[in-house]
Amino acid sequence: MKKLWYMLTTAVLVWGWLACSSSTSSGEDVPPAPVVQQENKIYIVDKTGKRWDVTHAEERYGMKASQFQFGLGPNAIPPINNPKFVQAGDLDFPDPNETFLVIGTRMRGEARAYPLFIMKTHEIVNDVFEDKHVAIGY
Amino acid sequence: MYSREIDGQVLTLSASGWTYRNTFVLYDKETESLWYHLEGDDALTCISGKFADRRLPELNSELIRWNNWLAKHPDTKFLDYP
Repeated sequence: MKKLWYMLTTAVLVWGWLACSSSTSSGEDVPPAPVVQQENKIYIVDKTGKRWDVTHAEERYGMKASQFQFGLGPNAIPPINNPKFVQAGDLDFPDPNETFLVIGTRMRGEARAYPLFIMKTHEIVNDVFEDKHVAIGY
Repeated sequence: MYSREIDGQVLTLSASGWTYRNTFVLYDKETESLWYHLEGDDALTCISGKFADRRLPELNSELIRWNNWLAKHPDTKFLDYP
C-alpha cells in the first residue's frame, strides 16, 4: 500500500512539474505550485521537496493550493534574528540627506529605522523592544 | 510590523519561500505554521498549522524616506548590515 502511495505521489509530482514547464495559463511567468492530495490533505511541494499542508488555507480561507508560487524553500530568504543597529555618530550611520525608503517605528520610547535595501534581501527582521517581540516585514 | 507573541510564546518568523497573490507567505520556525496577511486585514492570520485562525496584530510603523524619518526622530537607530 505504501508503494502505491509512493507511485501515486511521484506521478502527481511529475505531472505537476511537467505542467509547470509547459503552461503559463495563470497569465504570469511563475508556474503554479505542485499539489499533492493524500488522505484528505492537500499539500504543496516546494523546490527542496518539503511539503506544506495547506488544507486549512483552502477550506477556511478559500486559498487555492495551485496559486501558491515560487516555493523556494524555507531557507532561501533568511530572516535577521539578532539585528544590530548604529546610531548618530557611528561610521555606518547614513547621511541625514539620504532619501532612500525605510520602515520606521517607535516602540517603548525607542525609534528604529529598517532600510528597504536590507529588508528586500531578508524579508523579515525578528526584533525586540525591551519586552515586546515584533517582526518587521517587507 | 507585527507582534510575534502568542500565548506567552515568542515566535521566530521567516519567509516560507512561497508567495500567494504576490504577497509573501510567512512561517514560524517553532511550529512551522503558515502566516499570511489577508487582504483588508490588519494582522497576520495563521492559515495552516498549530495556531490555525489565530492572529498576530499589525503594529504602528510607517514607510518613509530616511531624511524625513530622521528629522522627526533625531534619536533614531538604524539597522546595520547583518
